[in-house]
Amino acid sequence: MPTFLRVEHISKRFGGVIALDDVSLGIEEGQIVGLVGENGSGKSTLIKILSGVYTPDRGEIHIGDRRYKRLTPIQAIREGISVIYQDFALCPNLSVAENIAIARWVFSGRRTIHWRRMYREAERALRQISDQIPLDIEVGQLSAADRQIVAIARALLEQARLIIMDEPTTALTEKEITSLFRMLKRLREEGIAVLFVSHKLHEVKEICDRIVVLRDGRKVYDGTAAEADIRDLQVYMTGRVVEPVQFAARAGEVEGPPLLRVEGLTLEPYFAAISFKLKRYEVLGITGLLGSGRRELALALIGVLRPAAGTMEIEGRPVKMGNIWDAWKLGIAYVPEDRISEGLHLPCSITANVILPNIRRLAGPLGFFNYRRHRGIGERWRRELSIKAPSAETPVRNLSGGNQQRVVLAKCLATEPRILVLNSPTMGVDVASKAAIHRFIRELCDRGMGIILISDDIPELLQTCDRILILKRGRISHALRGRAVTETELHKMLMEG
Amino acid sequence: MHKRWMLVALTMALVVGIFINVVGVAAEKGKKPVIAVVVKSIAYRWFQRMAEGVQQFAKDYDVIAFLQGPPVADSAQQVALIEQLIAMGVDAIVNVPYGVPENEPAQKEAMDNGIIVITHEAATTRYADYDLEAFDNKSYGEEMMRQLAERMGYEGDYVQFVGSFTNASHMEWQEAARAYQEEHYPKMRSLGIFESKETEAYTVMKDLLKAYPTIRGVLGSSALDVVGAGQAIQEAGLNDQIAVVGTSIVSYAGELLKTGAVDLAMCWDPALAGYAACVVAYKLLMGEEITDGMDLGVSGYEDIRIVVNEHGVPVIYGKGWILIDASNMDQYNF
Amino acid sequence: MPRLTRKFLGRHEVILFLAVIAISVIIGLFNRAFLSVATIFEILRGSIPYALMGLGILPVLLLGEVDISFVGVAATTSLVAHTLLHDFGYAGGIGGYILIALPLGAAIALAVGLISALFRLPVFAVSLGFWLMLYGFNLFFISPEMRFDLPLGLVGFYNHFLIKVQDPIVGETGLHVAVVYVVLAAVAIWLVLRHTVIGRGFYIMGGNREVAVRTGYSLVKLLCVAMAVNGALAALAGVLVLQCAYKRFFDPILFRGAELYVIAAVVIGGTSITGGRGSVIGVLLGVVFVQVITRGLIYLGVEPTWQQLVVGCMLVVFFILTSLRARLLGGHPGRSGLTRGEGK
Repeated sequence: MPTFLRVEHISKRFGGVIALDDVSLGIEEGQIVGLVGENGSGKSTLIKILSGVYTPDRGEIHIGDRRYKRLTPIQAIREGISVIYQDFALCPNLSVAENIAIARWVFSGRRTIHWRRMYREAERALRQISDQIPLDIEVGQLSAADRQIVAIARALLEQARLIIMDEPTTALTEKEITSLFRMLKRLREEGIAVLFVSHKLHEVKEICDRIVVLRDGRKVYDGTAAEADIRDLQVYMTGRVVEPVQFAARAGEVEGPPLLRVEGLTLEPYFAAISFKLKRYEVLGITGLLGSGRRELALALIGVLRPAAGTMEIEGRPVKMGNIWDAWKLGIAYVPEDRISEGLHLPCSITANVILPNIRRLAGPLGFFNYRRHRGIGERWRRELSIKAPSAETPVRNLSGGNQQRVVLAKCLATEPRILVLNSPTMGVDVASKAAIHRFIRELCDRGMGIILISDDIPELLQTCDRILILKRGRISHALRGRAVTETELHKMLMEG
Repeated sequence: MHKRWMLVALTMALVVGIFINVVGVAAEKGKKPVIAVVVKSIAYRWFQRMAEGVQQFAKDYDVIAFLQGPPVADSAQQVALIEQLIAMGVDAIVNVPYGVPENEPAQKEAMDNGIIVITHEAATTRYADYDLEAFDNKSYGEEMMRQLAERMGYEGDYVQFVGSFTNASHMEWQEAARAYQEEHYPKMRSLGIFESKETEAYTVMKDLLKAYPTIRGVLGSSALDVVGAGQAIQEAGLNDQIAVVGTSIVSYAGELLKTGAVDLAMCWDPALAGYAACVVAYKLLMGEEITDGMDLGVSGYEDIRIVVNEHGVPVIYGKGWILIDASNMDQYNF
Repeated sequence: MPRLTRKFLGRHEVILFLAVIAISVIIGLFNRAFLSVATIFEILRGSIPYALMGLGILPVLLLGEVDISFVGVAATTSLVAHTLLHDFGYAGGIGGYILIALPLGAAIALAVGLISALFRLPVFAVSLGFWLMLYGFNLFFISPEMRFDLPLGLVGFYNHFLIKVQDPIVGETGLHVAVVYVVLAAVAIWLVLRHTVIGRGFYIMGGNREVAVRTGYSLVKLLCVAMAVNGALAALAGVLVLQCAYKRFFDPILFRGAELYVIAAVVIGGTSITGGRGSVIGVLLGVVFVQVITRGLIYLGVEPTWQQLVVGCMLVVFFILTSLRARLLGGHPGRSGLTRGEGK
């Protein structure tokens, strides 16, 4: 296959930080190249250089017989380089067709809109990859997977020859990922190259033809996917060996009533007749596809949604929760999946974020709060969770994803909960942070907490959970012992029927 | 100390030289009493008309009397003006405050400096020797009703307008009018008090005409109420069927008075009020007393009534309204 | 439900139209006088200035900005135009006023837009300042009093009707000629918003600023266009209201406080206050809706002191119903722009 694009000896520094150091890389037509690396490894800098957002300090970009010292965004688009960002960069208020076609109308210099022709163009692009999505529906009403398809269709219409996908599987369920992969293979057959940027090594190995690993701005590995071994890749990425978490199940030894007992919990149409027990020293995994009711179940467990029927008991005493404060008082803490919109106040310091849920308890008798007196709390948690920040007064905005996630954890743990509900705690987090979080979950469990882990990351569930419940259409379809199943088996159970 | 302070103020007034010929006034001071009238804003024709009355008074009584006010209605500028006047050492100040409470400290300061202070359109003020009102709201409302009833033949439905429900004077007029009607004219009936939002009487009237075809009378409060209502009535060709009476002035309602769409505009003449307030100030300066039932020698103020308000300030009420219809509208060019 | 019916009923404008009809019929049942051609024409006449201002604010709201200075623009431009024309002894009709007020209005509003773009301020903040400045300017520099001294050409303009009707009660009335301006403005804005690349830019900018910039739109340019249109239409409303509706005089505090009614009407019409949603038809219907309920209450015999409360309650009920309908239809609120989109 001829080479579509080659970057040669690209370097880029920001102030004192070297983001990319002499990176060379070629992408062939119809090749899916996996670009992996931890946060800060230079992945996003490379994407931005390819899409014309950044100018490289040194090096060249070759496309066909053209050589560029730098690309402008317009040139990048003209050369057929199209980026699909994590948020898909779509307008939720516009129709699918308009989202797909409008950019092309603008770039082609037309001044008026011919709606019928625009729909036709959009349809042609969209039908290459999907027959399901109607053209006239608003994008805001689509699922994340469908939005991604719309974004790809837009790239196709712009005659993309290289599609760069930034963490494309983050918001997708397993099933959707499978269909994304099918789609990518179809693109490959049509000679379109894909740069698949991800840190999920299993996926990268499954879909990519070639894998490139970046670490600290340097290319440390470049080889075919078939030859690559996941464990080796991990070492290339992190520069060290990450041990899988080892743990001993202790829940069996516990006497007395379970920490949490749920009987017949029902909230149509999300979930129905959910019953389970959670003991101390136990991690209970709950999984299911997107839309299986796992998110709503989590929200019901922490008092945000009120179930229509069913009971909950904590240590044998029936409880009723009207809101999240009630849950906090009962010792139930929640780590949301979307840490930005649900969990963190970005402009505020680590300390302020950690203190917030406790503020009623820490406030003086008149409800006034003395911030200075409680400053130590943030510092303590920063050290305990080894959050990488100059001090506890650093605004959370300035932290990396993995570290932000740790702040969310700290915030929950500061309430000294008995039960911790975690929803996709490692979403969008790099390998090293992920392992640290898994270790930490087990550690908390060993301190006597009961933990409910909601996730669709199969290895994660297998690594950390004592037991796993699978939800399907709002009901429990399987209840498994954690180490009694393999990845493939669990994957199959999740997908079937 | 006092003298130096005065000098400073005088120099400042000279330098700034904003509104009046200070030199002239200061030169003549000592020969004649000086009465200054301060108003909300000199930009309003209403107060320009008042200035005419003040000039007339100065001529008739051979005193120095002048009217001044900020170019735009504003309490702060008004207070600054009063303070200048205090520094100049005028003998009496007649104040028409924009914001009644905001002007009170300045009025008190003037009184402390031995200056006679008369207020106008500020019946609730705390600090003044006397307040002078053209009339009390109750009598005015009752007069409005008498005029309307006469033009309606003492029977039929009528609607009442206020500029806004929060305008205390308007509400007092209309409530007094209604009470008076219920007592004296049992064949008449009010359809309710409607808000014109000052400028929307026309629209409201159009809808009222259709919603209540029995309307035979309109009683307006804001100067624009009868204008809007009259316009709608004129367009409906109902000039002769519906009597329109209310507060207004010739410059607003003149056209409609001529065609008969508006039957009677009632108001008080600011020239007369200004004149009367100066008379009160003059009498106090001359050491005379103001007594109940006294004749101030001004039309509408021949038989004044004095009521002490809740802050102990005596309030003088005249019967200073004037009735303007097509026959006499030429006399009131404001 | 069949898909087409669903789609049809899913449109906010359709619901709003049905609501206007339903409310009118209900009022008409209580008081027959409400259901007459004259009433329809009167309501249209009363809607003219609000419709113009609503159409003007639409592109600004689409961008996700909020402006309230347009009422001040209307007041200042009409008063300035009048003062100038009066000083030159102008005796003509509305044309002279439009010729002066329209460009002046566009220029003032453009200044608001440019200041906000230059200093990266929300339009709302700048427009608050301009709101005060413009009214202050009118009172201080031009005239604190209303001006009744109309030029000869304007006297009687309020009775220029396209279609005349003779109402048995209120006499001759009709469809006022100024409706033409509204129709022209509406068609022009609709064409631009719906059928031009720049027009779609308002929706894209309101939906996702980053996408818009990446697609090649400039926020500053779009904002300038939106504000200029906004100012020009407000100025038009300012000179027309004096004649077409009920005011027979120039008013330094014209429309003060009306900005809330205009924005409320536009939002009722389905325009999102956070940008990206709204239509010309929606704006027009929203304005008529507000006119119908505020004026209809007189026919219902509602105690005048209660009217504001009643109107407020009706608006809240309407908003709640809109949200319920959105949920019933597709489980996806946020279609109308009235309801907040669901965060993921």
